[in-house]
Amino acid sequence: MLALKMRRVLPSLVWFAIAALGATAFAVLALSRGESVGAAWILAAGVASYVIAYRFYARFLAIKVFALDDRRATPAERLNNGRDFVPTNKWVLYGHHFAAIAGAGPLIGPMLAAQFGFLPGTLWLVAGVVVGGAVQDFTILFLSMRRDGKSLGQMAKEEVNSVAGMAAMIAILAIMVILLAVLALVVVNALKASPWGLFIIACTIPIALLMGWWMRTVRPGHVLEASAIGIALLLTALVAGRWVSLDPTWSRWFTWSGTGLSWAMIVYGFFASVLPVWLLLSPRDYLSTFLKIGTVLTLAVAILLTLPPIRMPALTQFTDGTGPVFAGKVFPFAFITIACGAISGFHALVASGTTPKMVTRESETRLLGYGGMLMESFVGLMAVIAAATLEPGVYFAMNVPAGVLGATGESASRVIAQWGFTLQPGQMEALARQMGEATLLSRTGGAPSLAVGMASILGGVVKGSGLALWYHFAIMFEALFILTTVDAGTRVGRFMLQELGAHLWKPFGRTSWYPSIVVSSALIVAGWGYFLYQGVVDPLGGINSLWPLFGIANQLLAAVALCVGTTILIKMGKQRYAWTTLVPLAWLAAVTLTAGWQKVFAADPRLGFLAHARSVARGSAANAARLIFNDRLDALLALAFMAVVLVVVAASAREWWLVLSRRKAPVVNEAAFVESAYAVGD
Amino acid sequence: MVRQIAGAPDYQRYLEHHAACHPGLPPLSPREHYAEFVTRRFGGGATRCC
Repeated sequence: MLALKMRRVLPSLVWFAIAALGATAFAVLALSRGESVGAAWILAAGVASYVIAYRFYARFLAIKVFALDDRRATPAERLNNGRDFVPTNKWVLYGHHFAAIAGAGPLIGPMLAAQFGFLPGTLWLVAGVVVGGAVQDFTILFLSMRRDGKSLGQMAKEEVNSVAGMAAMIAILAIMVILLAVLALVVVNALKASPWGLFIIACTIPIALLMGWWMRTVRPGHVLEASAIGIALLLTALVAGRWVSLDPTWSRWFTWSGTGLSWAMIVYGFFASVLPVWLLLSPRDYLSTFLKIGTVLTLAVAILLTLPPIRMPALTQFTDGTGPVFAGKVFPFAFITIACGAISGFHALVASGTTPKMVTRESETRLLGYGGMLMESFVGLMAVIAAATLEPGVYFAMNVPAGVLGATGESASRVIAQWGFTLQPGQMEALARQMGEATLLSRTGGAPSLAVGMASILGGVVKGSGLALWYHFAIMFEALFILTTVDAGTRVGRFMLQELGAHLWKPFGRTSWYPSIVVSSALIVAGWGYFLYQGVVDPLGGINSLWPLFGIANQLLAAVALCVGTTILIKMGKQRYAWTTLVPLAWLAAVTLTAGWQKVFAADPRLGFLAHARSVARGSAANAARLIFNDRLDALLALAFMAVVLVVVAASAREWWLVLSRRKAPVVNEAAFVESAYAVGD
Repeated sequence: MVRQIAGAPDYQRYLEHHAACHPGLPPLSPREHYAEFVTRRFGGGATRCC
């Protein structure tokens, strides 16, 4: 009797204990003032919240809202063709889905947002994923699975209306251009004047070509073998990079300026889009997938083993909007900056891409959609920890542009001392020597400071040895998968442009017609290349203006996805539960519209594009005309993003009203029910 | 399993599928199968996130 009672009460006690642990961790983080807290508390707050949310909220979504039904055959089972529609083990597919959604965003965003202190980033990563990001990914994965793997754009067109479909398409293209520009800028800033880093990344091109040739001609289809060779060569290049950086002739060869690197990126992006996929794109994709999963796991283990101390305060004075890394108050800009780790519109593209075609049972979408996004948020928390282990003085010395800090360690110390943080004389020079770099001052973009944080965590496991090697390993890891995104993104953009262009002139839409490939690739590359180049020559470093634009665009795409989700839920007769997507939608609309408005119209020239253009016009800068043009272009882009959000929300709200007031029949375009041959609950 | 996580092709699996679903037709060679697989998976623009 007692045992039976225990068995009933015990689970509740366990869940209560997990909830109490999470609440305690948040209290410790929020109330710590002055005394240092350990990384363990950040991890505890995050993991306890994930576990509770997965157990209760994701279950509620699965059972009540979506009514997932394992008796219903999934597209993978019904359409199994041994190629893209393949029933796949849920844990394997989890790894596959995670590798597709995780990129540089969740690492870079929290690093930049750390100028507000570690607390805003931690809170938004955890709260945002639980009620926003994971819900979005889960919803879109579920909806796409019920529609044989249709894309977000197609669903917007078919389930909302053609206006929303067109707006979604334009939003995706615009976000792609800005995303590629800002990511390329992160890489340029990380490799600028870094012969060691540039040598490794340059080596990845011949390594990829070799792998491509191996997998196609020497041993067709032997991907694992080719990847093992590729990784061995990559690690050799990593070690050899030290000699390159020490040798005067070689290091001169691999020391490039920002503008030189941005031209190289533009040329590379063009070729990656035009060349056959087996030669460059697919081998790089395999290489970066293995490196990504391996490094994320290693970093998680290293953080658990070392539990590094947190040196960053919970909140800094920059929450008031005076921050030197990027302008704007903690609301809305912390949310815009964190971006992908909490909620990312981009994931809606993957969740309506390959993953829905591989799900074996409907109930598994809870693990894939909701659980996959929780893992991405966890990666974001690791970036928060990496940022917070840096001394605040070092963090600001690395992430604030030279236009603010001045060119020397002394000038940087003086500026940083005014903010109330300390930077010892010679500290940055010593750190640069330790990391094997010429300088670490004003290395904006987030990647170098993330690499320093990662190097000290990973190096901490082996008692701080080989820091320079770990630093360049981290740079390689980031640059490699950013370049994979640049390859893939340019190609996706090229296809979308060809599809849009076909409306004007039919032959342009033929995706394998060479003239069309060359023209559309050149247009996409020119689009992101323009913003990249302007970012590189911008005296304030470019990240300052481009990252917020990217954040706005990404959150805008999430708003589009949530509009589609809400519309379909209402049409399914689930209006009682429409708040699950409406609440994050309302929040995102508030955040993107406020941020967009401030970026365009704020009177502070550091924040508002138009105010900045006016202040440049009053001054006597040599390149004033170009700066003014770029400010106006950025303002126009931000306004266009806001217009797209408003159009999609209005088009969706009209549908909701028509359906709810019974003026329109609630028709959903799900694939018909077919009974699954798999045993339920097996 | 690692192969599937990375989204790599599986020739053996293809042969099994082919034998089950298209008996009588000659299967693709490893080389043709790989070429077809890569074009299908990456040709449409592999989706990779930020």
